[in-house]
Amino acid sequence: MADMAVSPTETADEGGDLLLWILVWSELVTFGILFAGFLVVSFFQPAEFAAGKLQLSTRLAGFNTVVLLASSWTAALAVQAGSNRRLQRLYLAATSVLGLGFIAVKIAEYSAEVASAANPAFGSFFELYFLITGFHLAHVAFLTLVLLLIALKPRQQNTVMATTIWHIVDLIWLVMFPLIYLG
Amino acid sequence: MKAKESSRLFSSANWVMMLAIVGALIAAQWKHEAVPLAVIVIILVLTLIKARLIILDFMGLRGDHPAMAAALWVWPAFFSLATLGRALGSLW
Repeated sequence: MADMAVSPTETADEGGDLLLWILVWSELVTFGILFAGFLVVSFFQPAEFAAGKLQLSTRLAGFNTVVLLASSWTAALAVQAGSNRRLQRLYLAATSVLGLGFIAVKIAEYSAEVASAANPAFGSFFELYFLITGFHLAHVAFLTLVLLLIALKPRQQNTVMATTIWHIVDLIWLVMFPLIYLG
Repeated sequence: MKAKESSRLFSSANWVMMLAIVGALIAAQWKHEAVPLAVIVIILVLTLIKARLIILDFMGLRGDHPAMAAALWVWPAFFSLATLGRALGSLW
């Protein structure tokens, strides 16, 4: 009977872990549905989507991939810093700064593309482009704020949770880049 | 163990950054023009390698939760294949 006893801490950890993975998969499923929608509509409007894609800046998007991956690295370092709160705070702040960099580049990219959005020659391309990348950008902005708040008073459990979602947002961008900009 | 994990993360991060820079530089060569299929294939392969390193080393799933790591990797693999399928379809 004693073998079956579970400490309250262990139960809380497992509960947090389960919640985290539910959150991770709900993100992947949501973006998966959006990507599938993009692929289906592109199948029905191939010429419009091919023309729309040419209006996008692969240079800025490629640069943003590097920025986001660098932020993912600092996020992983924040988890590894563990009990060294000063170092953890530094890495979390660095991740937030890189997140802000991603947002700034994306806004610059949008400002050049917004003029093309109303052009009917591109079909539904820009509606879906702004919907998918905008939803992703909202995730980056929200998590940047969350990471900044955690950096003020870091706790390992919060750091692990926020950085795991950050990695997922990074993973989503890695797939989004070839799907929307190149393929 | 901590030193080993630290050095693995550093090595993985170096690879990820290098692959991202190479991918970004390749993609940047085609400004406002269609990207050739061979280049799309190269970038998709780089994407899958980066995704694997992020899942295993950045998220710390190497040797831990192998089923979850595999399931997470299937997600980018599926959409990379779909991207390739669409690129192939646009040729015909």
